[in-house]
Amino acid sequence: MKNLVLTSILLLFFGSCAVSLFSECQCYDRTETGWQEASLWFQNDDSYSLFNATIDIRKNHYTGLMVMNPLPVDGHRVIFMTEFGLKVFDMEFSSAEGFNLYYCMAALNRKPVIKTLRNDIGLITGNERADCPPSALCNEKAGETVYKFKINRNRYYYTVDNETLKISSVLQTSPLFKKVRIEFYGAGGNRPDSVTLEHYNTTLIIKLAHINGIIKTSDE
Amino acid sequence: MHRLIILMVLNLVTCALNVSAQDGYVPVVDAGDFKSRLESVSEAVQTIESDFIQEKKLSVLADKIISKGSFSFRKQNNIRWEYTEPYRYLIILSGGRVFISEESGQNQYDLESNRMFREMNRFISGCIQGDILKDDAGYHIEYLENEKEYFVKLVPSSRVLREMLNEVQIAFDKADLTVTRITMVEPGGDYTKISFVNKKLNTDIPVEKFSFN
Repeated sequence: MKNLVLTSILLLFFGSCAVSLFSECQCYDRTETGWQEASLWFQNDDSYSLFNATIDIRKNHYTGLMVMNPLPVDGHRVIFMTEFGLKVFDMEFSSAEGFNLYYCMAALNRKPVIKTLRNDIGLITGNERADCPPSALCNEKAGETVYKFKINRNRYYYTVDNETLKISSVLQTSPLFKKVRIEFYGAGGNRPDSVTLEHYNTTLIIKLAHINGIIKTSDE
Repeated sequence: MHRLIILMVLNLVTCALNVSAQDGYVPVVDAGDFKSRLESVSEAVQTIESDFIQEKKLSVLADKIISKGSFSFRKQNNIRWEYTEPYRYLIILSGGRVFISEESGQNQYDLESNRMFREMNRFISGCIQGDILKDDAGYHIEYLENEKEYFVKLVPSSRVLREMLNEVQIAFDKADLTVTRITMVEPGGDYTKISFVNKKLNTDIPVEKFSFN
């Protein structure tokens, strides 16, 4: 009886863990080539993207605009500001110089928060990504291929639509637990129409909706 | 040696004059008179309605991000600030409470228990009514003027606030001493400039405009 209870608990435990992910997929020999054909959002953009953004961290709710501006070589400058124009954070992901935090408002300026935001924004913009070759899982029924990367203790699962070759979701896990899920919604192009990022083990949700901002050419 | 010192002083004075000449501003001779006239106007104004254009300048972007909306003020300290382009966002400060309506939903907060909104309320109403100019402890204040406007520069005394804002600039129309422009300059030079247009004073603004329903 005890063994039955223990086995049930273990089954329940592992059932909700990363181990049982993508059970409907099959291992597939379409690895590096397929991944190279897949297109990361934001990676080929030649001008800024402007999003209506909300970030919920624990009990705090931040709204405003998020600007993602591509760097000349590779990477992005990402600025999140309130509707009134006051910056919440200003960070840069550069392939040459790495990550740089230019500014973060006092309420969020703590190492664990910065580390998490760096991870999350980096995953959204595709700047925090693996250089190692992936393994692939294919779900022919859904018309998707899932590329799996291992970096240290973390695993990253990028789901790519086989037809559009666009990434529809990213899942970050530890060896046992799901950590972060990102869903991208978009018809195509270099930027998605909307993005939703959610953490499994803490209250942190980021929602972005692309807007066509009114931009005025500087006339100073 | 004396000649050298005189030349240096003349050079400095010339530079200073050139700067203010380029901006068109000169120091106000009698700041006290300006402040007392502003206070009289503030007492006479019961309501303000205005459209606004907000320009956000980021050094990383060649162009400015423009937002537009409307602003309403009713004594005492009832403020309605509504963005209509390129997003919808409404904030109402009234009766010690804050109401926010945005794309993702609505929220209400108590001003007393929320320091950030309390400071925001104090700042906005202080700028609009000119009360912020009485805050000698909170800001180092410089008064300038040209033909058309008074231009006041406020540098926060608080180190914490200076990390966010290097300087606040408020422009008052000389014709009626109402605020025409507020510019918030950040360390590094990025700024937010809010220009008020189509201003109407002392119109009948219904109380419902500041309600949360």
